Amino acid sequence: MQSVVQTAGAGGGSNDVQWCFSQVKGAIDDDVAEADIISTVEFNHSGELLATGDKGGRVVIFQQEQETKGQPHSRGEYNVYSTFQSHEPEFDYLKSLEIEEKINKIRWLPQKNAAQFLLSTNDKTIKLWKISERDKRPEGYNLKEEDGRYRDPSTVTTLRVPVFRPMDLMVEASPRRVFANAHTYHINSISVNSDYETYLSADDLRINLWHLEITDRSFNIVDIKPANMEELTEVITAAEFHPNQCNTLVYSSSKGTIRLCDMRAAALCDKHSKLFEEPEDPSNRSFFSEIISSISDVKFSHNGRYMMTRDYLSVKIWDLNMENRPVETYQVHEYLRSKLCSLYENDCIFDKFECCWNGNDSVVMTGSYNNFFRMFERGHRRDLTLEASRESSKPRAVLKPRKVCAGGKRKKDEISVDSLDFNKKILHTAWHPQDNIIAVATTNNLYIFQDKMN
Amino acid sequence: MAQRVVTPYPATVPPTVSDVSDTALCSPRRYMLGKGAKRKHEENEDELEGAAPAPASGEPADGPSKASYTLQRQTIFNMSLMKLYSQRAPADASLERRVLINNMLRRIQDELKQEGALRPLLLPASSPPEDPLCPATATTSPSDGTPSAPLSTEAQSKDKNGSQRPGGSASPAEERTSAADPAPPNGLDMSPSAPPSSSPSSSSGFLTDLALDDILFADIDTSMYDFDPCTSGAGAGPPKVAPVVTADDLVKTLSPYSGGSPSSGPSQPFKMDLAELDHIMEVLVGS
Repeated sequence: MQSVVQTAGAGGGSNDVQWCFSQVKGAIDDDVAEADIISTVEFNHSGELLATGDKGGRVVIFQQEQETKGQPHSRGEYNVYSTFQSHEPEFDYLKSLEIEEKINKIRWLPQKNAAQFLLSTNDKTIKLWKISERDKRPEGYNLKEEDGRYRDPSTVTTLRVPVFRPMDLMVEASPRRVFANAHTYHINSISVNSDYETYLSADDLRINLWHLEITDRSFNIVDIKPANMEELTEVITAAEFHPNQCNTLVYSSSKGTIRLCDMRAAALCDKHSKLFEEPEDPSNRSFFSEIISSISDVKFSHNGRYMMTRDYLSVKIWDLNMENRPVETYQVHEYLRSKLCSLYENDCIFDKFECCWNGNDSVVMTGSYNNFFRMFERGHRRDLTLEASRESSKPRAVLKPRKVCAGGKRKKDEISVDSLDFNKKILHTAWHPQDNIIAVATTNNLYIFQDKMN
Repeated sequence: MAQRVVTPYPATVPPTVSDVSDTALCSPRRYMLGKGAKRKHEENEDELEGAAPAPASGEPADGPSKASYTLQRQTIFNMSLMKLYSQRAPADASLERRVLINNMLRRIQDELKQEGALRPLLLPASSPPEDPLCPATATTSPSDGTPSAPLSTEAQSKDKNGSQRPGGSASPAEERTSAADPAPPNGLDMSPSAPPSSSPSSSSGFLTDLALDDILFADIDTSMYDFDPCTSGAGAGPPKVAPVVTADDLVKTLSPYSGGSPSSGPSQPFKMDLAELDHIMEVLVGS
């Protein structure tokens, strides 16, 4: 399964690993077209495919090359495999609102046959796409010419059996299901259930359960919409199914709480089974306490024992058996705590950072500003800050750890907080399910880094 | 398992409301797709950031830190109002962001009320205080009746739920009234420069809970986010009316903070907008 060289699973912590630049995808120039802004990144279950969605509604899938005998010490590169337009902009005439085509989330289905399937969603509609390869085509029809024109039957004098002949590989993406009209508010999450038959979609106030085969109806399983919208003080920010238990799901809120629901308990899971919430630290209290406690992402660990949440300043790891506080808390960019007023003014405080686990749940990763991203090694309590930039984009160049100087004397190579570029934010990151390969999305570029293999 | 089944919504009605694009009242937009200029931290915000926020319960005893705390609070309050009312494109309007900003405004309002520094302000069109000796108490009780009715009628016509809004908005107002009742003596004490005989139209510089909430909730318009085919009785409703607060108005509100008296007329822009709002409501309601 894994060769000895790939130490990603076995205890390779973030500081044992040296991260190297591998590839960068996307336009080089600084003038970013809005449609090219990457809005989601996701590896498939084997890690062979890497999908990105953008603000223009397109999905680009990269495929990892098979490792060649010639270069045993380098993992395959990711090259474009398929590109398709998943969602188009729409106009809701009833509410006089544009529906953005931006892809909010992509989730892969486990592979069951030769084709690959993924779910992609914008604010309102989820689509199931089938991506299949075609490398042969039939030739030698009796009634058709090669160009497709029909032959006059009277000119047919002999019969032959059509045969399949190889052709250039063609990757086709076709929409197999469209799950529409079930969300009044903006969809923020989709999650495939471990039964591989159902999935959930969550918007600001409701979570719906779908069957992958059935598009004309879904079941509402969570509804936090108050009878009087004046009383609305909390929204759903993310939701996910448990990786092993098909009856369990969690959803996070803008007030920093996570609710775990068991679908066996009732048809409508408004009453949670568990409520995860950490009491506020009174010494850190400010006007912005609520806003920075809003959870932007929640992810179960691969083994299903923990879940990770990302709020504005920190990453927290929760044991599913302990509701009153997280077992680990990692500060992503604590130096921003004194800047919250400015970040509120320029809306950066509302940025939604995602987070991800590595394959064996020993390291977690999340993004920050100035194109920095952070890794936290759980066992050894070590953390690492790296930067995704064109400057450090030489092939196989080892990335230099970065450091932000919060105050006082700035050491050499440190960056002061005031020099940070808040327009360069890394919101989306993904980690290969088995290997130490990571995909990090800046505004319009996708960086692929991997560990240095000796 | 099918307790609630979601059925497709057909799209039918032609558009009625269009939003003006944002004129970027706030500083750099989130996606500043230019040269990626590094944004320098501004001086005055440094001072604001430096002000230690007071714990929710008590007020700091000493003058300067309370002043800076109150200044920060005022700035955040104004910023929040601007965020909610700047004309953003609907696509940008994240419900979570609006809810968080709204919560911020409510929290600041509650804090102000608790401190008793706020004397509730009537809408200009409402009746004058019955008891000139105790304007704070007097002004809140008629506020349940007169100003709430036109605003809540407007909101009701837009509220697809069809629930009884006047009742709904009056009862929180009543709660706030009862909470504010112990405050008037403090209010009078703390704002000596505001004479008891001042008419409701000269103000304390802040809006009443009632007026502000109705304006805010009017902007969080359920017709934009929700369509329930079962309550079609509500109809299309009048176009959204939101008071436009410009940056200049808010700059005026940040004018010299005199450490305790919030009554120095910075409410004029708000008052003006409330007057317009009230006039429009009268036209719509036909009263």
